Amino acid sequence: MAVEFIDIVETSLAGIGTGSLMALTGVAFVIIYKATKVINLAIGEMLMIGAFVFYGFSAGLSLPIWASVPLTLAVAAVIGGLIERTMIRPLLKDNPVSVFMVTIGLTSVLIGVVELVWSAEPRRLPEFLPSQPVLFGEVFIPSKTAYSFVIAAAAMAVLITVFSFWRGGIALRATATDRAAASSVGIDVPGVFSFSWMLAAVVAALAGILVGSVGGISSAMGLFGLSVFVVVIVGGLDSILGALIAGLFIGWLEAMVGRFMGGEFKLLATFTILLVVLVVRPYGLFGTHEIERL
Amino acid sequence: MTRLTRRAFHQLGLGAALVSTASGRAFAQAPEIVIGAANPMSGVFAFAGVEGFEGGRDHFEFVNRAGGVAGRRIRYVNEDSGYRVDNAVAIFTRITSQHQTPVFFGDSTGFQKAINPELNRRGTTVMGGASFASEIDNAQAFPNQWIPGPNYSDQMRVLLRYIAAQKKGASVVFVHSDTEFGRDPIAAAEAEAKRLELNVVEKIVTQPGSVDVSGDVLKIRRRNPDFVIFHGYVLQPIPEFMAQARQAGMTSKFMGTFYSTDTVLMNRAGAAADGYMGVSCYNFDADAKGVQVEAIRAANVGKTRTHAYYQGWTNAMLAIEVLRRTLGANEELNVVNMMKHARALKNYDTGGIFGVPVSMVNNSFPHGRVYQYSAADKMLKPASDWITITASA
Repeated sequence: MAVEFIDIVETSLAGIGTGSLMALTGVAFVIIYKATKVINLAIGEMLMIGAFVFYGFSAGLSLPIWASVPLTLAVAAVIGGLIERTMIRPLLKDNPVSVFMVTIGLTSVLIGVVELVWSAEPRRLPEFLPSQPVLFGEVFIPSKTAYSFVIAAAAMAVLITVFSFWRGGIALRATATDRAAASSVGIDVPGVFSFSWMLAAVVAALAGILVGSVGGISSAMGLFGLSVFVVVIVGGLDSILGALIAGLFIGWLEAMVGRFMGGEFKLLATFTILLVVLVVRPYGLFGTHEIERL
Repeated sequence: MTRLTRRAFHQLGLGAALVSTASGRAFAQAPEIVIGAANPMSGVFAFAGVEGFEGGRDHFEFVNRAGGVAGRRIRYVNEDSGYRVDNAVAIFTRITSQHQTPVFFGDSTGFQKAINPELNRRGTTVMGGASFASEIDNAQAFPNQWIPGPNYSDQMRVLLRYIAAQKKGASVVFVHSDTEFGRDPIAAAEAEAKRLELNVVEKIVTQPGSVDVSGDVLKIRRRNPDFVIFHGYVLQPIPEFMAQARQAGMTSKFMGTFYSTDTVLMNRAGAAADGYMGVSCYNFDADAKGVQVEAIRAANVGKTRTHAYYQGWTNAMLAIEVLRRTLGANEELNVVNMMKHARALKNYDTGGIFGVPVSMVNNSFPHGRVYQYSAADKMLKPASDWITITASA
């Protein structure tokens, strides 16, 4: 069948919609890495627990969406803060591998919590996004894809503004650049660490609500985090702009490959890009190129 | 004071020994029969593992209340595999080394394939399980295992024969996950569709863990096939796929295989799953009659059980029947004798679990029926009569 232009446009928009969710989750990963240099392998599971907390409020307690979303984000912030204070901070002076291993263990802990509280059955979130599809002329965009994109884009705009102009954001950037110097000018570095985990947990929970509204929720939805690792490695581990651009690009690429070559080639394409980037720019497209002197 | 002489002491001792021996004989019970299982009570398949375990457990309690098998009680020893082959192998080794275990239930295709050479080497344990893989439905390669229903290829055949009966030359799209589970019946289904002169217009492969199906819906939007068949999924992404397809104006009917044909899961999906059709070998008819379905109802008052529960119950029921026949023939509980009796199950009355008498063909029971989910009534309703696949792969 001949490829029509409208197919390309529709597929591209659908891919960018999915990519925005990857980008948002990638930003959550980057916030933690940027502030604490911790590679958080549990980002997918933090997303998952955010989605389940939202499910608990909206479906379990039948609260309205306008109450469920802020409550979920507040609970996510508390969870993020607890994780940082009890599991991460005590190990920050140790070998980075120890913290890395803790985040691996954290994935199992979060999955276990979800399975204990909500069981391992897959579930669907209450429908809260408009169900009418978005049409631009003949171009069809499924409603959830379109509205998820809008929400994710708004969240990322807020984050970029916060990091650029707000004192807390500047403190986070300063800590990321040089902890000792940041501390010497009066920045509460441990406070910044806690803040970064709390903020990342909030962003991940928001991403979890959107991902869950599109694809449902289950204790296995942390797998989504695997695609996000590709995004942050390609974009640069410490670059919010990189996560944003790489997320949109990987989402678009997977949609185009799935549409025109077949779903079995999606991961092949994604990991080919990852390999090329690692060979050509090991610090990612927008990551900081650290110079190591022997 | 009476003195206890040595002779009297020995007489008393002898008497006591005789009494204790005699009473021991009088109160001795026939040894229990241990049935082992590695069920995924945690991990990605836990929703089915827990239900499957409870189905087996409830059946064995039902049997024990009725006196067991040949006077021997059943002891069900289960451990959590976490849906990992290495865990399941370790559990199998541990349980079978601690107990004589004539029957063991496996948790996955991967485990049942991995343990197959060991089962054949030991010759002491037969296996049922959670797998409906077409590959395991081979009596030569897997001589000591059974599948508690039709294999995945036969499930697809049931759906395709239903479609062919509904509309000659209907257009069909297959949507399957890029996993061993998802790929299992696709080649057989294509061959069956060709034989039935159905038109397979597209095959869509989705990655495990992918959340957004919008690209896949767009792929078939303009083709608007008569039927879309999903395989290799539990719940997601089926309801979302259906919702987006309806938004896009598609009028297709959506269908799926065993693990996605589940009242509990469909109830969770709600209105998005309304009209979904799926194949099952189990009888979800609320008015079904029979000893076994009535026992299920009695054990689950006020509860709706998942498909996996019925599967666990059926595996247990088949195990009990095989044990009963083997012990009834005064034969040793080894694989040769037990599988001889398993393969002799012809026109076997399942007490209402299946809607028709069943027969073991190769390693499976190739019977099924198409159901349609009604969101308003929150139940699966029969959409076809029972279909038996006579030319099982």
